[in-house]
Amino acid sequence: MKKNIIISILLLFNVFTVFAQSTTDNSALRDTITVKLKKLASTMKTIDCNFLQTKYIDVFDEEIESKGSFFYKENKIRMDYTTPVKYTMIINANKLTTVSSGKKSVIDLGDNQIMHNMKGMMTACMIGDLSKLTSEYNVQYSQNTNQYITKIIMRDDQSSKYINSIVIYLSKNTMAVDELHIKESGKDYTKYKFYNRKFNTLKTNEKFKIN
Amino acid sequence: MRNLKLISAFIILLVFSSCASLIPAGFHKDKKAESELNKLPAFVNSSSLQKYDMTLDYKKSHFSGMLLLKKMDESSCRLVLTSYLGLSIFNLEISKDKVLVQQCIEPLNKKKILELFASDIEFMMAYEHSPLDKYSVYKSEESNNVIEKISNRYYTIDTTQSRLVRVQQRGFFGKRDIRFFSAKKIVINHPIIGLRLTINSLK
Repeated sequence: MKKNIIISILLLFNVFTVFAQSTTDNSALRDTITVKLKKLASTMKTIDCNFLQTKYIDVFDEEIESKGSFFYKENKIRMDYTTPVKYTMIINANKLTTVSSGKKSVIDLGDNQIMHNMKGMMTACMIGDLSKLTSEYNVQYSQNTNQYITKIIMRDDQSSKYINSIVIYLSKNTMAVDELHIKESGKDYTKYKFYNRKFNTLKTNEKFKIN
Repeated sequence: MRNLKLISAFIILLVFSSCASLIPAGFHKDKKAESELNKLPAFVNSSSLQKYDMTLDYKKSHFSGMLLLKKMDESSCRLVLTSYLGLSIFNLEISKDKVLVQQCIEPLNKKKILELFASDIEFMMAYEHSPLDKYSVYKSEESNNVIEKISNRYYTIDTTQSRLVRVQQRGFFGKRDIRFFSAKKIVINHPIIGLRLTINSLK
């Protein structure tokens, strides 16, 4: 059971690992995005923003909203949910901590491959180091007036059991992630909108401490 | 031989403990009493979507997610568990004595686990019983509670507040204990396997 719970929790984060993936598609648009992200990485070290998460559940034809704050600094991540419940998730080194209902749960991820993929994803997504991407996913690039759009389609059976595709909307102005859409294997999906972004405001690692 | 004796003793202990009554001292059977259980409103009494914060504690592990529950018709309900980060964990269709798995992440897709979970939810939702079901009502002069026994389930009802406060069931391999702290908070304990579910209603 414990193993199941841990695997389940890890699966939640597996959805993010796809950010770290790419294909051999070397379109001009991809090069443009890559160059801009690398440029951003040299100046942007921390992110502090709010998010609105909308989960659509097909069987109920219902959208459920959650809100919170997102923090990023040097491969460390913290998400603080404020509604509908207080819930915190921190990733720092090889430890994953969740806090809910006043109870803390710490998981040592050790040599877990998913964790390493996740770290790669975070680097790719937040810092723009696309060099670590592998060829396990099919990536399509497009753009609208204000955003670059990267669509990642699952190719391997293991990931596609849970996730059909992920779409990242990058602001052309800041190259920060505006929105993230995760479509599950059925008709359910989750959308994250990031706003009130502040860069390089986190001076210490206090937010990412695991006591 | 010694091991055989020990095993036999353990089995006898299990059999006796599983058969032991959960009626507390001071309660006696009232043969004329009518069912109090059927007078209570159903836990989910509308077809609107119900949202709960669910925490699961298993030994030292702690998991939290959002449980969504909707009564689809008189005999079935749909149950969806999602992580707070958004991923659907499972989607179950529950009808009487039947669990249909519409979707479930691989590590949790175990028949026994899902049946146990569905059975807990069925306890929460459908405690009303058929007029054909045999039931016994136990009362005490010293308590406002009545206990209604149907099959191997014991329902404790607070008659002053007209609400269900506890359901207990003892089976061969353990006891299930559900406490209804209010219409908004329910705790389900499986002490033998060390599993505890806490369910809080969300607005």
